[in-house]
Amino acid sequence: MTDKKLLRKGVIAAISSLIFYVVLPYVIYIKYLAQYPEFGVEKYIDWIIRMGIVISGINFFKSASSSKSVRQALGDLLLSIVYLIFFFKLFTLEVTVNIPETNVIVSISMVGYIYIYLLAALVGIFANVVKVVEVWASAGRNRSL
Amino acid sequence: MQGEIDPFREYLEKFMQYFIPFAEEFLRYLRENVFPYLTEIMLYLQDFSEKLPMDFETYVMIFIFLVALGGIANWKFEKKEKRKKKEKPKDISELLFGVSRK
Repeated sequence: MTDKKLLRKGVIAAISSLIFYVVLPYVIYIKYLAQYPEFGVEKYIDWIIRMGIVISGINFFKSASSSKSVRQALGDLLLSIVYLIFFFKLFTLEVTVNIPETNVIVSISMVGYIYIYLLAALVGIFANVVKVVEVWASAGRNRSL
Repeated sequence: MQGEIDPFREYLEKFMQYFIPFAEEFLRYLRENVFPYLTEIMLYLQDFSEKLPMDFETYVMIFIFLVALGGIANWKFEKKEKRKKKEKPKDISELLFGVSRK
């Protein structure tokens, strides 16, 4: 039997994250950044949209399950892993800004932030693994996914 | 007003006096003991992120798969929400008690 309330919650979560990660960056890119091709931010926008699609799917999976269930904990774990890959990709991308009038090429890279972020993300993933085990163990006899 | 000492600024300066050496020490410790291990993990992640597909179709397929999985799991494991039973009309004594307590 489906729980329509939870399904509705999942659909709302998926649509809101699709709007936030896919529609909004695309609109900003088309409206403000596409007219400056020398900035070269297409790579960033593409990766935000790609990972945003996956994140919204996981958000649906997570929100369509009841609270304190193993599925929700697994959704949290998946989300933290996908966020790690997403930010890793964003931090390691290099954007080169070419200014033709002055013959200056500026390269922007954020690799310096990756160590601190990686540390925090690994701690978060470990915490989510502990949470999955904790929820699995606390279910006891009435264990269900 | 210039002669007065701003208490917020004073507290901030005191906080920074203690915090900045601590932060420097902590970062040095991390650089020496933790970051070498993180470099290995970063190399693995670098390899993995280069292998990620560059098209949108794969990600849309993952999205559809996750939505289907969530829907099936909801259908399989969740129970239908029970309707609440109608509450019995309260006894007159309870009502009076409730009024008297107010």
